[in-house]
Amino acid sequence: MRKIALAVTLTVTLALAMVGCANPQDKKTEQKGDPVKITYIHRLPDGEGMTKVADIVKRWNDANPGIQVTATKFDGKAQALAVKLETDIKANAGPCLAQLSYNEIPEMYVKGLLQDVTAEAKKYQKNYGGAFGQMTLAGKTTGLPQDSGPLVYLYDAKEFKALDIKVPTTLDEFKAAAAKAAAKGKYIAAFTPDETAYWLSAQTAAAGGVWYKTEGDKWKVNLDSLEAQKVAKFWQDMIDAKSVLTLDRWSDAYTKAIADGRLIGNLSAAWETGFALDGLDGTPREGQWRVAQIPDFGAGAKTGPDGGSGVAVMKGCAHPAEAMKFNDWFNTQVDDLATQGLVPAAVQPAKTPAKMARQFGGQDVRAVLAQANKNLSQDFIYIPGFSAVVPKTTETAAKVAAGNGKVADVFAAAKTSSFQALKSLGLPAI
Amino acid sequence: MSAVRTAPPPAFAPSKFARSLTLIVLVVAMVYFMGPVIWLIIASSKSTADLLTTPPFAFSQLNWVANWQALMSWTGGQFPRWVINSVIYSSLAGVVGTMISLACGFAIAKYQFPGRKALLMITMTGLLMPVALLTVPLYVLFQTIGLANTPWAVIVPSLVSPFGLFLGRVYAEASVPTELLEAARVDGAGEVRIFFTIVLRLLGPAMLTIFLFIFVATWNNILLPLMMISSDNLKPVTLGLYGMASYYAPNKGAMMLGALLGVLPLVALFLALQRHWRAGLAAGAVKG
Repeated sequence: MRKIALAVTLTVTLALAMVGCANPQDKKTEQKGDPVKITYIHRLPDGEGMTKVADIVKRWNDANPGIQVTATKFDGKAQALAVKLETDIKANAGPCLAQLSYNEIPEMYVKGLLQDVTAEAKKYQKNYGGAFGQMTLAGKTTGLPQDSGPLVYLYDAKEFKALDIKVPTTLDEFKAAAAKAAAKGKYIAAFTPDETAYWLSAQTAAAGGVWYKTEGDKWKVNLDSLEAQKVAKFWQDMIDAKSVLTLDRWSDAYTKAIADGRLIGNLSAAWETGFALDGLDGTPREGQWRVAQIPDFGAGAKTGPDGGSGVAVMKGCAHPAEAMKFNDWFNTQVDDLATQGLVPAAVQPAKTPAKMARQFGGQDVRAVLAQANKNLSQDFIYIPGFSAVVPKTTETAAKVAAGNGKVADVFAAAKTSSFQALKSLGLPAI
Repeated sequence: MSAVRTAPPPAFAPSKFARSLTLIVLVVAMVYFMGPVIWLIIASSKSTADLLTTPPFAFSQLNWVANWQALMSWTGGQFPRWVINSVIYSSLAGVVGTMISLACGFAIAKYQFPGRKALLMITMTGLLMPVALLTVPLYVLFQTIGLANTPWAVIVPSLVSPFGLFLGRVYAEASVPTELLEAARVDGAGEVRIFFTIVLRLLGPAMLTIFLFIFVATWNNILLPLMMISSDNLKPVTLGLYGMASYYAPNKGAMMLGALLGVLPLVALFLALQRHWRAGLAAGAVKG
């Protein structure tokens, strides 16, 4: 009995000691005149040579004593952050602002984790391009866009010249150029299975069709459209002709194909300009690449969004108006955000950072990207549960890349898994 | 082990075949275990571009200084602090966790009390639970009691180790004679004194094994600090490096250098404790 008593005493003492050490600030009640406190959790890289988020936030805090912002960097991937946010918000300890990928916004909103700040957002809408639409769901805006990823075309200008091909402006020209380059062992594009969900949905949007939209209070899944079929055929033709490489975008093989000069172009998200050519630094190929608009997919000068993220206001944030004020200021610091490798969603053009100018032979990359931002499809949204669509799509695309299937199967897989995802969230779909 | 080595008589000597087979197996094992370490050392000296284009097991341009600068820049100068954090968390969890494991293991092995078997069974099912599964519930718990984002949030969950308890029980059963405990009681020693002055000494080798086990488990745990810790200055080194890796284009050379410097404390610890550890394992085996 004595032993048990001793153990109990020890445990209780230890527990009490630990509670004593807990952060006392949490319990402090707010008083009038105290500055409003805003917490902001982000996933920006904060790497070498970048303007650190903490420094940008410090500028705001120095200039705005009434609204003090604490920025925290989350080290994990987007999915881990989603779990943490959900837990925190349910425990009423969530941050005010959080960086979320556009494809997460609908799901978080449906789960009731985001605040509707439409009225506040309206005040700032004029500062942002097409990506504003991705923060808006059925007329309800939950925050402001931070960066956007319109598809652009990256290519090695010197190799293009040597092969006597021009940057293709239509899909037929693209196929012809790909065939011509492939005959010499060079590839002007790669089919990248691990990126297909975002990549093909963006291309469909560039062709003038969107995978998803809301119709009344239902989700419309539209993966059999003529536009989708056109994109599928475009890639199928090139895969059949063996005029494109098939390799995963996020593999070392991709970086290596660029480094050894086999891959001399690809349809890429705008944010890839921040790092896609890092492997060429200090090699003879440095500075040969350029960026251009994607070819006309049939809808004129239009492109689709591949990735990007925004800063949303979380449920439980006590000061949404102040949070949005900071949100707008932060996301219009375009030059600072550009150093983080982002393509800011704000309309105000950013300076092309020195590293980017060097990698693209002095081209004004930001001007091209700003144009792509303007061409961005306005009505593109993801469905809640899109995170479940991605792996199915990737899996099917990997089979296609291995020669077991058609690109059309990827769209079919995306369709099936989209309906499943919506069903499992209890959302009506047609 | 005797200092003078004599060759065994021919009849007992292993055959040439057995000897060369042993040698081959050992060499393969060495390559298998040392290969990644050597690769890490070489990789930490390269720039990201060199990592992709030069042969993996050959040095190219030595880029250590630039990698170190990049590492410090990516981590906002916090890298050394993160290593120290890891050492503190793992040591504290290791020392206290070992005590808890041994005390519980000893109690279950040597004391008769109702519910002993049930208690052991429940603990053992804990062995089957993947740590990842428990992380989110733990986070909710720590969030509620206000301990999230404190060092305790990483240390306290690491203190309890079902495997440590299991080892403690096995060792206590094997190397603590009940007669010795009875003799001590007859001499008037209390239970606490018996545990600290007699039992712990007998369990010395087990102590080291459990300590290293908990230390390494705490050091390598990444999901727990990822959920629990949000302040930069509280992060352990694993989490900090993971933060560098979760972007599309990390500076791979700098990360490799970080990984190398991040395991040095572990290597030092193992080298320092290796002798004792082997002595411990052998003691159990020979005495029988």
